[in-house]
Amino acid sequence: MDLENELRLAMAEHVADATVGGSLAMAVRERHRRRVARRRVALVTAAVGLLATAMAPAYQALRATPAGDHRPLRPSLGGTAVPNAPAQVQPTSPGTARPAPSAAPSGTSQTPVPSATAPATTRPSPLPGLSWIGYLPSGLKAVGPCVQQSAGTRRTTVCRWNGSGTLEVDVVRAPGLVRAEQLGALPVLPRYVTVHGNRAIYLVRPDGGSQLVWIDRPGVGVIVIAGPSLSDQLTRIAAGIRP
Amino acid sequence: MRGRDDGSFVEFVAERGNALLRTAILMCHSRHDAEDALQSALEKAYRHWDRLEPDTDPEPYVRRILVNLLISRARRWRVLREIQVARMPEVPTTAPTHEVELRGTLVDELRRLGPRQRAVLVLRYWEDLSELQTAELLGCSVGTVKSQASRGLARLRERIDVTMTPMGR
Repeated sequence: MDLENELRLAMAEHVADATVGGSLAMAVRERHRRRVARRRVALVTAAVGLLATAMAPAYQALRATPAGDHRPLRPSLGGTAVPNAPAQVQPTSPGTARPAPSAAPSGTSQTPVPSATAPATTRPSPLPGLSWIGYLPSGLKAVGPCVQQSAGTRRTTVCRWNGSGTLEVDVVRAPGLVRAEQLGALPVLPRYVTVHGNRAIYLVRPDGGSQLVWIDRPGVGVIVIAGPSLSDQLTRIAAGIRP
Repeated sequence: MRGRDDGSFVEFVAERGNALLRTAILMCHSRHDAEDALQSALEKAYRHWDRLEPDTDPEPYVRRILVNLLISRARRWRVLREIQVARMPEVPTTAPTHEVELRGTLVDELRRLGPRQRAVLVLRYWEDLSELQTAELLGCSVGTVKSQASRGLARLRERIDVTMTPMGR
């Protein structure tokens, strides 16, 4: 038996009636069109995903959200009284004739007086020198009087509290001070918020605390550093500061 | 240099579609699979159709795509079938004449060969390609084609002997 010949005949018999439909070329082109469309959709989806992944940190950094947006408790940006605030004072700009509050808010907490006497109280003092601090959480005690530091033309007032947490407020005065970045090192991926309409740099400190830095007006900058237990009230404290 | 246009693709499919489909059927287990494989192969060729030179024959290019696609699919299907379907070996049935039975058995046994061996036999004895052309198309050496063809035919002969002997051949 000639197997090769038989195989040829067998194959020819097997496929004798096989013919393609008249629309094969059209079907192929349609298949190609669908494939291209699928590929484009996949590419666009991948590109959007990549872009979103790449842009998220930048967007987060550039986004200027109102202070307190990321906090459960929204601060009073204008420094006005906050309902149920544990301690509240009327903000008064230092050196101005803004009146001190006629009466302290109700409550048992008392005002910290970072002055020479440094009484063991946690309520902001109505004294003219500290009335620019509008809100302090309860349970804070002034570490001591506010300290004045000078370096060249830069003058810094440093006030510290501790007790229910640690808090430090620095007011920096220097000619030419216009950008928050001039007040310290900028984090790699800073987050920006606004305090009284000013752009403020928010960052989380290595100890778990947080910090806000902003320029209140040209020549005057503020740094607020809250310990971990006061981090959730940082923006509220910052909103009450009117240096 | 201008490549092939869309119209030449339609012409090519109209002229060579049947031959390509028949090759695909011989290398497949079903006509449906063959048609699907042919469409896939043609679609692959269509992607680069405009890059093919107008004065060259596109059929070897398309056939190469088709054969490689069929071998790949057959390998995948073989694995899947072995996993999913445990069938008893087919029992030879009687046929009106020995010739018809022999040819039917040959095609059946051809399908039982490995994908590459089957491709060699189809290309050599259906497409009438030379050993060199077959080797070029499959991307292997002439020696491999020779040995695959020889082993494939031996296997067919052996299977035919086993199948046809009980019928008094």
